[in-house]
Amino acid sequence: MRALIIDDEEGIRDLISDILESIQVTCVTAENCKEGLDILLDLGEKGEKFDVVFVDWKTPVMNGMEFTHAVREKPDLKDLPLLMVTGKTDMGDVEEALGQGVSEYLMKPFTPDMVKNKMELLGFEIPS
Amino acid sequence: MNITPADFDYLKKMLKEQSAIVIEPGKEYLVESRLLPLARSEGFESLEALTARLKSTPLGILHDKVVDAMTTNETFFFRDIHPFDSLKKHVFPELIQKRATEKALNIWCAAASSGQEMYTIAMILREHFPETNTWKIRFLGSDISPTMLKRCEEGVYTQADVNRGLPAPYLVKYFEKQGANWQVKSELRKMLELKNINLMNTWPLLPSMDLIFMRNVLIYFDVETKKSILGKVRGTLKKDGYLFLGGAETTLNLDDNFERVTFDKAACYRIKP
Repeated sequence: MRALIIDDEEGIRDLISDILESIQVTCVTAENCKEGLDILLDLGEKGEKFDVVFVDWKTPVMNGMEFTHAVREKPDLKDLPLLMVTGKTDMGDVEEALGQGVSEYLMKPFTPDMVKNKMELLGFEIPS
Repeated sequence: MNITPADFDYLKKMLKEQSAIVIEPGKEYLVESRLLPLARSEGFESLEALTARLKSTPLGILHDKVVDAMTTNETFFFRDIHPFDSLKKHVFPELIQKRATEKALNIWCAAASSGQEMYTIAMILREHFPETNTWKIRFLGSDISPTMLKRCEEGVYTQADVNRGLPAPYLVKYFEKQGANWQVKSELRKMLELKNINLMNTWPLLPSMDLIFMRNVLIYFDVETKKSILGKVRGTLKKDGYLFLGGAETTLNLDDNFERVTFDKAACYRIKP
């Protein structure tokens, strides 16, 4: 299984990578959504894909909502599990993200268990 | 300060007598971690002082508070996920079809704890079986701990609680933001009927249940108490109803009148025909 992690904070990228790698997920990271989108599309052109994307809302150049919109416009990516990881914790934020096409929403701060629970909700089997 | 062997033995015996909870040797840390906060909140200098008071006074409120503290268990929404998948895909569709004439369902969460399991079931029912909105749904939640029942009634959860296992679409549909916390909407809270039930004691008169969730409770009891509780479950569960136990629990070698039923990755029990 392969995950793309987009966050401008290196600590968050490393934390999510460590959690996912502990459940045998291979991780690729990007510092902003533009870089993340390029990686995602490049891989698609090679006929490969990511199984899940963790995306921060606020990143430089392109934000997580613009990224989500761009991803959902691609017919072959419309079902890609997208998990928004953000410090935005208002009800309106969650509604807006879901409305844009995000699959799940994880509020910062989070624990490894929360990441694994969200992966389960997205339909992934978590090795015990 | 570590608990003395004599105090540990006293608490072990008292908890067994009052709640049938078995505290295994080597679980001193558990007793300390649960009871030290209680000792402090009750104004005792130490766990030793709390235990001394318990020993020197007749059974009363303080003893109840100790039982409460030792039986308070945190849980989370959609815990273990597979039982809830089986509810959604198999158990509810079957029960709803069978009860289509009387349009009534009786559901019991026998260890409601902080309420996440009950609300998970209620959300599944509302989300996937809207035809039951007009049914007579009797949804009972019980717990030995009054503290937990109050939490169930309030339905207020922290950000960490809702971050753990709750699907985001359910968060926006069934919760309201209350300051930094999230509260279950009243339409769901109103579905629940809460009772203080100690499973090892005589149970109050309960309706015959279509569905009983009793997960991660039996593990705390000794074999005789487990048998007694399963016997009472049998008297309360409808012949075609379902019992869900925790992943580490079983009726095997405890009550041969149950049969195990597997739905995908979840197992539950029903009474043998």
